[in-house]
Amino acid sequence: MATLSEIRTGIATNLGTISGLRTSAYVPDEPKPPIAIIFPENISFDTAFGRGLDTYTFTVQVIVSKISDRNAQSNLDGYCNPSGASSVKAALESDKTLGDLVQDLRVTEARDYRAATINENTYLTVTFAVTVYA
Amino acid sequence: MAKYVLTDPVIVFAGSTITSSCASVTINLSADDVETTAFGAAGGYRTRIGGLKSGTVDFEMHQDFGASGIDSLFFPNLGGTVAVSVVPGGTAAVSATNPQFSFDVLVTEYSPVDGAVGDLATTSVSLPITGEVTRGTGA
Repeated sequence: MATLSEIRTGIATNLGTISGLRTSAYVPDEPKPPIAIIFPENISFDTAFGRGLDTYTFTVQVIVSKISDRNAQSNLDGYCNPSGASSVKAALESDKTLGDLVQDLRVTEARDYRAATINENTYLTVTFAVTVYA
Repeated sequence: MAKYVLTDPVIVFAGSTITSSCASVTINLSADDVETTAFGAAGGYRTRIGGLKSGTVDFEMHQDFGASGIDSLFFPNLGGTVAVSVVPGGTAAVSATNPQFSFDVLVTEYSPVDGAVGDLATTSVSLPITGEVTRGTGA
């Protein structure tokens, strides 16, 4: 059965297929946009008997450059698209088993498209919810 | 055996262990209620005796179309009789305090697909038991 760290790394690997987007399986001290950071949010254990299935919920926060930058908004729009070369959903679901590590994976929503202050700088961010069955 | 949380029952269907694909299992056993009330019943109350016994088993499962997955066990057996056993207490040796319930079922229903967009693919069945239910104790 896959470990949490292995799943985080697998998600980061899938996101790495988006050209120009940095990925981090763990929260960096000083994120350098554009970057996608993976956060474990919830684990529901024992959704089948005999340790047959656990359900993980991750959030992937995508941070692009400052909100005043028009290109930042355009780039973030691209990450939010349901398909295309920059689509986070398409990249994450390009290999739904993360290399046979998990049973299935689905990006369920993009939310909280807004400005966020990180290390005294204001960036534009969006958060994706990812459900993983492992 | 003390009170326990149901996490690891051993469930065998048609010779294959389906434990890790099951989210719920219920064995329902009942006996017919045969009324024997006659004139002059004491206190005016009805009287009854137990009649024939019967049962059903219900499974809620995670669908899997793999070579030995759930579909490979249910689809070919629709309309047939299949052996089922359930050990609620798990993989420990069957004993008086860890009994094994064994019986045959008639596979009268099966839904290969049962879900909405975005749901985990699941399938549920409620199958009538045919014949005797045994409560094995390993003796």
